[in-house]
Amino acid sequence: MKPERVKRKTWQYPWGYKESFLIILELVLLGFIFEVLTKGRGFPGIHWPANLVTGLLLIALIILIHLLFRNHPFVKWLSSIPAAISAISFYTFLVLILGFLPQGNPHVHPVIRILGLYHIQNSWTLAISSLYLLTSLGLVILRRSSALNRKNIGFLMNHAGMWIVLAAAGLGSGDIQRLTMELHEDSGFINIAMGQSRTVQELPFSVKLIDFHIDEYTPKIGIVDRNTGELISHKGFTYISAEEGDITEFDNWTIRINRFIENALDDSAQYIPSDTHGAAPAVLVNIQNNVTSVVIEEWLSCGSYLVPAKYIQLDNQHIMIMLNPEAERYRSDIVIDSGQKQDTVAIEVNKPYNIKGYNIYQLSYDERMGKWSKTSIFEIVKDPWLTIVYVGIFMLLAGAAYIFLIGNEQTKEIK
Amino acid sequence: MNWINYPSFGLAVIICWIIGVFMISISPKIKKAEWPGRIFVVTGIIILMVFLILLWIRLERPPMRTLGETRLWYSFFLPVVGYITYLRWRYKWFLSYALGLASLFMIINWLHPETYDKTLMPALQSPWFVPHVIVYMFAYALLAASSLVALKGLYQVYYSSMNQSTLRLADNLVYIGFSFLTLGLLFGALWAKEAWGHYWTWDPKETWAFLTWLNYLIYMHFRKFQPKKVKIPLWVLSLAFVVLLICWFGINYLPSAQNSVHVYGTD
Repeated sequence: MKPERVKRKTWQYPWGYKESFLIILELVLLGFIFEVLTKGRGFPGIHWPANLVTGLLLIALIILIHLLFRNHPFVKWLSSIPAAISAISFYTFLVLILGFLPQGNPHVHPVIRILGLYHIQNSWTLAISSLYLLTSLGLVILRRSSALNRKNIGFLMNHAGMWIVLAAAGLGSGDIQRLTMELHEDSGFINIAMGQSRTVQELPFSVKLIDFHIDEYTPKIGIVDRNTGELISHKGFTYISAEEGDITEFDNWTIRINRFIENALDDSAQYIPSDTHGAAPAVLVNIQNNVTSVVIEEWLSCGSYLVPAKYIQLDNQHIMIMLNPEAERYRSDIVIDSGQKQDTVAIEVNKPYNIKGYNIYQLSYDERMGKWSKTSIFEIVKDPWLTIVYVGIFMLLAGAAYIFLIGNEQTKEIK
Repeated sequence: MNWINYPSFGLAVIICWIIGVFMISISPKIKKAEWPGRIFVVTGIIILMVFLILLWIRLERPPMRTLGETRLWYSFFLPVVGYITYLRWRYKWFLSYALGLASLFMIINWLHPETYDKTLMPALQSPWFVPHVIVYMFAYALLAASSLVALKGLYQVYYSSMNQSTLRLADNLVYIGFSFLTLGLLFGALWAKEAWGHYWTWDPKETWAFLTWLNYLIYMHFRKFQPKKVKIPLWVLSLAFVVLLICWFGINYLPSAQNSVHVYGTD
């Protein structure tokens, strides 16, 4: 590669990639030093109102630097592309560690533990990296916005959007509340939820569970090869659906579903429909072995906590089983009392309910009881900074649309 | 229509593409061959689209749950991107690479037969599901294309003379691909808020998707600063695709990702 400019010494202005990456190296070391000094507790995080004050101070500081020193070579460097690339690379480096090293468990190699690499999300290194990125990005935004024109719109949408998302998500993370609330169908109105460290918290509304239920897909029937322990596959199918009346050729067998009972109890080698809690799906299958022409008719059930599972021996090597039905939908019907009024609502996965700044999510249930569970577990989340993060996200969406429509302006200019 | 019919559909598609590419490549000598060539390429794409639509109807859910299903969308979008690029910039070699790569993915699907499964877990039942996956597959197709261009560029750098227009094509593909990658990431964040209570949880798939995004971000900034330097961006672009592939397939095999909310079937 040809040298593009007169050779200058390191740390002699204007700075380029070399200085940028040396500074990154120093910042990484600084982060590690803080980690060692705080003995693995990591970055403590900041909460309301300290986070708001920090955010406002940061904005004020960036604006001041821009107004007073924008022509200083150091500030020019801080808003240059080499600084930007070094900041993104620093961030990428940390995310890469996050992607490779298992997080959250302090019982790791001492070096990893001392440097805080097992808790990147609340490490000093990430905090410092974010601060560096936000400062550099902030200065870039101010530099470009001094000439507001159409060409800058896409640029500002992307860069300011990113700044807002990073700043609001980072500063706001200390204010997020994630609580769980366990409700039983008989327990009446409840207005307390559990925090992460089992702290009890009172909510400004109360919830009563009327009914929890799971819709299930029709159970699947498969044939297991006892040598491999796996389901055998036939023309791309590893199972047949337990639809009453279906006749299917599967491998060496012709299988007919004579009867399907969604909720059944076993009663002396028979299965009878029942509404008893704990009833399990059962099918009466007629199986003809196409090689030997032997026909058998037997009951098959995946069982539940109440009903034992029942399989069918087909030959020495194969057994027929019913797989546990898969959930199609989890749904809790609840009454919410906000103090002023009561609302009856349904909460499902992907369909949370919002009340007084809290989102209520379907999280879990009593898995031992399966679809007969009378317990529903909700996650209740409050994130006061969400609106600001969303403003940033929508600016980034607009910026992405802009890139798609306008494309890359620069390559048109270079010859 | 289901996976049982896949081999015959896949074969028809690949044969159409082979004939199409052959006719287009001989068109400098035999002018008349170009148009029928194009028709064969488009027919192949349409057959694949028909298969996707029929599969969607038959499964009664969007066929986007398993890796094999996403590979199929990828094999559909890559030729679309390749064909448009070929029409717009007249790169014949590019069309053949795109079709070749798409065929490779279709053959992988043929070697790893999918099983027929109608079920769709509640977490995936969301209006965000289809746009999230489609936008991502389209981005992946564009970015794969940009990496192909980068490989060609690297070949030029080391064995012949580097042509700036090669990098410009890569830039165009990266810019459009990156905008879709951003949309996919943000749609995912908005969906995550609805499904899991937070827009960002550092799930392994999220982490690697973010890494992919950051890599292309570095590439774009580098190109902006020193457009005349070519070797570094070409290498960055070639390697960025490796990260993308880890994000797409590698994740399912990472031990740290066993609890990922994104593992929905490994075939």
